[in-house]
Amino acid sequence: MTVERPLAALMLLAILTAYSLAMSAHAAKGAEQGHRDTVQLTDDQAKLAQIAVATAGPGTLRQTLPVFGRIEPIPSRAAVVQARFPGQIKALTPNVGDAVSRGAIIGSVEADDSLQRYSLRAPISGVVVKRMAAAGEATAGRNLLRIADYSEVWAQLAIFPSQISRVSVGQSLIVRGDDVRVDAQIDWLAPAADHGPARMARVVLANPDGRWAPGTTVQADIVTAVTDAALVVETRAIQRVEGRPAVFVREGNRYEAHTLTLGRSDGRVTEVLGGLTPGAEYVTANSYLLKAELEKSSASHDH
Amino acid sequence: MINAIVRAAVEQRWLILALMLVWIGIGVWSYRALPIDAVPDITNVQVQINTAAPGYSPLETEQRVTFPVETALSGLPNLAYTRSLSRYALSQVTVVFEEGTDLYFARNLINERLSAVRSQLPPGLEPEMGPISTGLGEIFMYAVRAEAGATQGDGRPWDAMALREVQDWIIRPQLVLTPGVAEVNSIGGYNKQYHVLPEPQKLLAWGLSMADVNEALARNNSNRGAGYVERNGQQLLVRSPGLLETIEDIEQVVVTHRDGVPVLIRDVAEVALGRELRSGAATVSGEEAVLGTAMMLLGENSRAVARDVAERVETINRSLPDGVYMQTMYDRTTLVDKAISTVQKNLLEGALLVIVVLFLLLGNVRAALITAAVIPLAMLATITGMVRTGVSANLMSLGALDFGLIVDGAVIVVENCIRRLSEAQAQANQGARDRMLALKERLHVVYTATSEVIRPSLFGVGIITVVYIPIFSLTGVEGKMFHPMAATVVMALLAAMVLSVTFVPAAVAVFIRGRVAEKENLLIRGAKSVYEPLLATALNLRWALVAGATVLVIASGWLATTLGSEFVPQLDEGDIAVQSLRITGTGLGQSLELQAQVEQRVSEFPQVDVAFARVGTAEVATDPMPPNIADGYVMLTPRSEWPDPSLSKAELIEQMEEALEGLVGNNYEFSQPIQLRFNELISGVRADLGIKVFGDDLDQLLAGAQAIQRVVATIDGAADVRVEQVSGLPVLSVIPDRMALARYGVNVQDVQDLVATAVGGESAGLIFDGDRRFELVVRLPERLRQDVRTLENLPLMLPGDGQMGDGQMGDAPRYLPLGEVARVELAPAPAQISRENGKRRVVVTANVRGRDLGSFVEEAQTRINSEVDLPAGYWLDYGGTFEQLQSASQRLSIVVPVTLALILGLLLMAFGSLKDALIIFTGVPLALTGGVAMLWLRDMPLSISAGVGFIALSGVAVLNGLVMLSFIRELRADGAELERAIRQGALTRLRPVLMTALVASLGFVPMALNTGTGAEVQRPLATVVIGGIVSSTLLTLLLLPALYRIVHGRDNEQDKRQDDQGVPA
Repeated sequence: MTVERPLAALMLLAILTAYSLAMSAHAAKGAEQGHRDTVQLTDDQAKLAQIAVATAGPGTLRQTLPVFGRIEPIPSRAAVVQARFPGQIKALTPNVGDAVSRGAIIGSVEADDSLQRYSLRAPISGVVVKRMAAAGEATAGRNLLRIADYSEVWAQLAIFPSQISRVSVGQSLIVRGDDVRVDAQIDWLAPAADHGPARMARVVLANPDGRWAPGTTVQADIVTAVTDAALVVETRAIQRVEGRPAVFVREGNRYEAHTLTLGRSDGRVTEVLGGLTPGAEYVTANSYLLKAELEKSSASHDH
Repeated sequence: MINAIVRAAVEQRWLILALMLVWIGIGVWSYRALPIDAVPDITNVQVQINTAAPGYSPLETEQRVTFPVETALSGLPNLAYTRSLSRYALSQVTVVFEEGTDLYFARNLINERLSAVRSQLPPGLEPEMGPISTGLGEIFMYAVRAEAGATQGDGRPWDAMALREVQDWIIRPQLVLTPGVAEVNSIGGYNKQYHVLPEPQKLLAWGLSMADVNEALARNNSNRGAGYVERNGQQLLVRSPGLLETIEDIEQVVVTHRDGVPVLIRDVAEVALGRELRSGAATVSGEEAVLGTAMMLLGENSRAVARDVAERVETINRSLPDGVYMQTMYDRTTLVDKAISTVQKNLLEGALLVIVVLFLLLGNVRAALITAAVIPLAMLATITGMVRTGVSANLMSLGALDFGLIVDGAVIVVENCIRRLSEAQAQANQGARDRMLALKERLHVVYTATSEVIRPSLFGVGIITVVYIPIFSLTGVEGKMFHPMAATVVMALLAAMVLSVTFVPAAVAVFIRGRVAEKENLLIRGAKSVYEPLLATALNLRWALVAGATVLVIASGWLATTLGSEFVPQLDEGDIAVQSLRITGTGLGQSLELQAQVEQRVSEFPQVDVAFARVGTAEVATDPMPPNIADGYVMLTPRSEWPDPSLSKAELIEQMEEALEGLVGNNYEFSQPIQLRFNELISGVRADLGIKVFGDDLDQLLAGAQAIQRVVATIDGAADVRVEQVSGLPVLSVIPDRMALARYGVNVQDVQDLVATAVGGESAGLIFDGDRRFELVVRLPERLRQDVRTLENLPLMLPGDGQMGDGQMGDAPRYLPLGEVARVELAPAPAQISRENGKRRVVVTANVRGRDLGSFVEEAQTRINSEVDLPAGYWLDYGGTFEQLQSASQRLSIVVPVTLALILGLLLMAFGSLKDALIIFTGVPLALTGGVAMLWLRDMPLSISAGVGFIALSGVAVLNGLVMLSFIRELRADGAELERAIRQGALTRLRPVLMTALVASLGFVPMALNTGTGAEVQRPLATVVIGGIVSSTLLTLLLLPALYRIVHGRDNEQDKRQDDQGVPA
């Protein structure tokens, strides 16, 4: 008769326990994959995931350093026209912006002493960049014109202390203006940081068509090192697996994470010092998906 | 007292009937106010406080936002606990209150505290409370879509940004006005922004910083009012408009002057419409989309609100630009309608069956109708009660209603009245031919007949009510699911109880008149003719019968252990939710690509109507998901359109799982839309044992948690021991070098401002377009933002006048590359920081296999105490399902015996004899045998639903026994000899016993067989009751008399012996 009491109690308890067991079974499913560093993908899966592979091998690293600078006129290519004898300017023909060629007559002055006129000649070929006097004025020992030759200019690049160790004379670089870019090389490096914190690196640029206007700001990518490395991989292939850099190496349908010791990198490719053998097929595009697949058992939504 | 009531009811019968009209009126009126939903709301009383902190990393969010907010909330009245989450750009504090706290009261309290804490938060950050909604709140979802080839006014195609603009500025303002809608939440597309993208090189050329650009924009974008002037008696308002309106306007803003030449924005930057840095996105069928979700206000009627929203959507559709339309993705009405129609069908069919049975067995239409009338009357009273107590009509609350059970009391009364009336009529006929019973006689007969059986029937119904008490002791989610069920059943039973002492006798008195001849119809006669010999055999073989029954009980006890078990049968919502999980740190773009593949795969199923998903966090962070997680919804086509309509949903999900398994990089969790939402809201430790480590330092917490994990893993029975995932979010840190900063005279803030503006962008004001307002943002061009290396070379303007030199050689550059004063580091950082009750915590979870939970927890506690050494300031807290299990089993171990004692007490009150009470009690295990057998036959697991069925069953079994035994006792009291009394009593009572049993079980038949939406919740319950009633009726009819014979046979012998020996002196 009293069977009822334990039975009812048992039943309700059984239900509650069973519930918790069901929940734990659910939780177990997520954890069963454990720590393996291999992912198996069928061809279809790989295709759908748009996984691309490349072969690891030797490569060239082009490490670059982007810096800013200004286009400056070359001091030796600028000249100031002065009157040899003080007098009154009778004529001064070129205006700012006019091109003059070396030896061309650009004006005349009547000397105060002799009242003789003599001609002013352009000391160099170039463009008049400044005109400081006008006809009728006294020369009074003044600078009359400034002529500059912009057929060659300098790009003065500011190299900051943290960058200086990577920069040396002779390195090639790409100078970029607003809409010009040109390959060049560093011609000179200022020996002292006498311009604020930065040392100047100088690049001589040909400027036949005047595309480098002095005073404008330019950007340059200095190729600080071009090294041949025995083994490189594409940088986008590298993922961090368990906190360490790794690439996924394909063997048939298996993709295994190889932990790497990395060397230098130029952003595009990275040198591999250990962990990978040359000739290995490694995943480049969408390597993140393999990492995601590998670690997906840890993906959960904890509130 | 009962007799007095019955007497009054019979005498004032017309008054009673009139009162019934009032009763009906109140019921109908209540029905209109009854909230209807598919499932009960199991959300706790909680308020979410979300603070959007754009650009803040988890650590900063926690320190600057979460902590002050959380601290401000401590000490609120009725506070149960707080938990919080700090993620990238979002702080969410969830405040959970004690059950029963008024949500509006709670929100008021929080509001007060929040206004005080605002001053402590970083400027510009506003904590906001989540919408006044619950887990059932997401009632309507739609996508904003464009027809193929449709273009905007200026010829551009509709992209996600343009559609989002439509959603934010045309749809949302209209939709949010729908009564009962608390919030319309948007996700997907991009908020339109005006972007000013300065080129670092150009800035450098002019010696400008990003801040200069920002300032210039801010200073050139405002309207100003300037009061008024009076002129010639007229008042003129003065204003000076100066808002930027177009991209051209923005380009013309002057940043600075150089040599008399203005430097305009367009000289240093590109201006374009741009995309916000969003934290969430949406997809529909594998394509980017804009999704809107209408959320229902707490306590509203979801069916009505969803319907109104759908109507409003129709109206809004007309006001949308050509080619743009809203497509309904999810409408709760569908589910509610299906669920309600299931319930209605069950109840109606059940009621019909009950009426038919009553008619067949009573053989009197009027009597059958009177009994049947109790059904709607009790139902109306139940509805009134539901509205009063705030119980909503849903599958669970209406799921256990059995009209057979409800009318049991009435059946007994009516049956006895009919029998007595016909007997009285027969007597009257003997005296004078064809004499009709006088009114007074009739009333008297009705009164006596009613009061004759009213006690057992009231006790019976009372007992059925009492057995529901253990259900009220369930707490938490189980409580929320089953309390409404128990509440409605109890209300219905109480209503029926009241009706059976008032309405039933009154109606019998009024309507059963004329010649009442008890026509023992064929059925009853047949039953009796079968029953009589059986009873005789049973009485003869009584010992064998008892032994057999005992064996049966034991056997079914064993059978019960072999049944599978589940907690609550899951309501099939008809749709599927697939949560796709990817590893922490996965970007939104990558996540979207993966989600698109998932949706394409899913859409290939012919059963799928449409698939859509929310990835990451929506505008209102009701569910703060990181971008690596997507809530996918799969809407199915009607089953009839499936290639194989008999395919079960579980099989379909299995197929889907298989198909999705092929996609790389995803993990899936399958559930259903409402279920998913509930899980998100309730959350908490869902493993058997959760060990929470509290403390300050995250690394230390993690180390402690890992140490605990190692210890727990070695304990016997431990499974799936895991440490909560907190880390793993890759973070790019720009760490200022203080020495270098000092060298150049730069402040840390200068560095941070630069990084923030360059990468995250800085708001420089708003661009207004009518009501619409769009942010004006200054940030680096996209190609530079994407490149981490650019960051190191970003020029940082040095303090000074900002002017470059005049171009002469020897000028020092007035900038620094950022790398000169800061290090850029990539390292994993906490992805989220969880806190509970104001302290950081990391949880270690474990499940237990093949061992009892209590001893496991005990061992874990001792082992951890002795083996894990936590530093000072760190402490542990143990939680998890084991807590609920422990408290539930403790409660049940008290409540179940108390309930049984109560029943016994009631029986004792009814009989005044412990023996008889115990005899009736035997009906209970016998009833259980049938229930178990039926479950086994139908291959159903044990569940709480089935448990509720067993509970109802116990009540019915007792009722059966009561009816039978009380009559036998009466006969014996009248002096009948034992065996004869048993036989006669059992035979006379065959009809009411059969009737109560038949109506109770047949009333559940539609429920047991239904396969409609929501039927899975009720099916186990109905199955158990039907099986149990069949067995208990059979056994009551046979075993009860046999037992009575055994127990009282001995009395008889004793009596005889005493008689023989004579009364001792």
